[in-house]
Amino acid sequence: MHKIIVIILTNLFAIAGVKAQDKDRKTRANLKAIYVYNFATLVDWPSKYKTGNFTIGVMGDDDLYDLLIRKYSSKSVGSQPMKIKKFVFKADAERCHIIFVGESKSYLVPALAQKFKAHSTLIVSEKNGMLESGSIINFIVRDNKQAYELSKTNASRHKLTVGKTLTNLASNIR
Amino acid sequence: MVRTISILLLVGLFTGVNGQFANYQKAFRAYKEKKLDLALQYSDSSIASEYERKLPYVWHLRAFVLNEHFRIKDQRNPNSKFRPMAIEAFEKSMKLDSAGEFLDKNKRMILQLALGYFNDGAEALNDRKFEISQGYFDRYVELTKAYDKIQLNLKQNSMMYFNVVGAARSRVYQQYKSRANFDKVIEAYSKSISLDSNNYNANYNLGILYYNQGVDLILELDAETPLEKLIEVQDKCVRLFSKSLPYMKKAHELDPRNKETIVGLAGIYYNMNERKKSQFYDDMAAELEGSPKSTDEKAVAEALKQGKALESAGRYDEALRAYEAASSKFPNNKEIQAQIRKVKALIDQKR
Repeated sequence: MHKIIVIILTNLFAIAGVKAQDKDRKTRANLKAIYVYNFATLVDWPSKYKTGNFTIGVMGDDDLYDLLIRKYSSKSVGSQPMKIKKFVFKADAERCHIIFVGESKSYLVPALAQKFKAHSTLIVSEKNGMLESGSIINFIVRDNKQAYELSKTNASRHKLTVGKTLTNLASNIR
Repeated sequence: MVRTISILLLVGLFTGVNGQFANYQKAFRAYKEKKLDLALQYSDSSIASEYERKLPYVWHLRAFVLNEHFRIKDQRNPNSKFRPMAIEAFEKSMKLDSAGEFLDKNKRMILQLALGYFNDGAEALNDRKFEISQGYFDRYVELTKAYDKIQLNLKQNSMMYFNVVGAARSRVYQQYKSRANFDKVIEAYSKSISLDSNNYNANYNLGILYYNQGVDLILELDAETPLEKLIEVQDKCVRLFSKSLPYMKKAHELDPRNKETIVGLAGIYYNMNERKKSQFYDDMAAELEGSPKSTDEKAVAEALKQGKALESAGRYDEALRAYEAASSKFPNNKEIQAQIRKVKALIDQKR
């Protein structure tokens, strides 16, 4: 009997290798990054925005910024190479094709919408009520999943044309 | 065993013809002198004898001789032919032993050999020989059920065995992520839980298995995954996280102070976008470590850092908004409140 216990315990200790890890907390950033990339390909920008780099700005989400840098900075949208930038303050935020505003910075959305009112900048946010504050796409949670809602009115204000797929798959359209 | 047989010899239970020793007596002498090959030769002759093969002690002795061949000559090699032969001989002895003279000893020896099968089953798992392991385990169960009336350890040992199978299968699954391997892990832990639903290991591991599969599905997504596919994968992940949850909850219930399950629950809720619940378990894990609420602490530090940077740049209005946003999340944080008062004073001075 003694030998059995020894063998079993040796094996059981090996179970410890299977556990939850820090990587688990990168899942949301990964999903958001894929969404943002899809937004870049499924929204049509005016022709003057179709040359040079395709710039994505990130505020208030370091995980998303790091992931975009790591996985997307060598990709292109059409013929435009992607350029990922991180902004901390409203004043730093430069004109870009897409600006993602994380929840901790969502109080800046109205100011950013004002700042970029004459530009075709797709403002993406992630807090309830942000479409009313000028955001064009807002991440929401539906049925435990990361989803998004869309303001076509805000999009047209910024002269952006939202593709059918993006419209059809939105959880909510305003 | 030696004592039992000696008594038999003393009382003249030998059947020698013309004063000659019987084969089993010669076998016994050789066995005592540790001449195992010779003992087996005499034992073979003994069971070839029409008369001797009807005697229970002939088979009892033979079983010991065979067991020594397995134990000493074959050094407990799991593939040794002598172990099954020894068991067969003990069984034969029991069948012939209507008086039950050797019953206890025969049973005890069979159960000892059965435990050997159990050990071999566990060891085979180290080499990932799952089929072979299962064969040994089945033999252990079969013999234990047949000869151990109480079966005191059978359930506990079986549960442990399936936990170890689950762990070994998990390692294979981590290396070769296939559906078939995943199902094998589930099967092993489910068998363990069916034996005892209050089984921490199996509950925790089933929870973590479903959970990790969901996490892996998300992290392995291609950067250019189309929206339709992204939504489909999320549906699948939510199903996996939902499957994981009851097992992890049960494991937590069984061992409430185990940080692994608390972290697991925080992770499941995080990935199901249930932030408050996720935060609840994050805080619980932090408290368990004796540290303050680490996630909150980081968020407060970050908010203060940003606010102070805005203050130093003279952007007091923005700093105030940043502090107020932080205050709405952490209304009881004294440092944030102090910063709000300070910035408000600075704004007033500026005016």
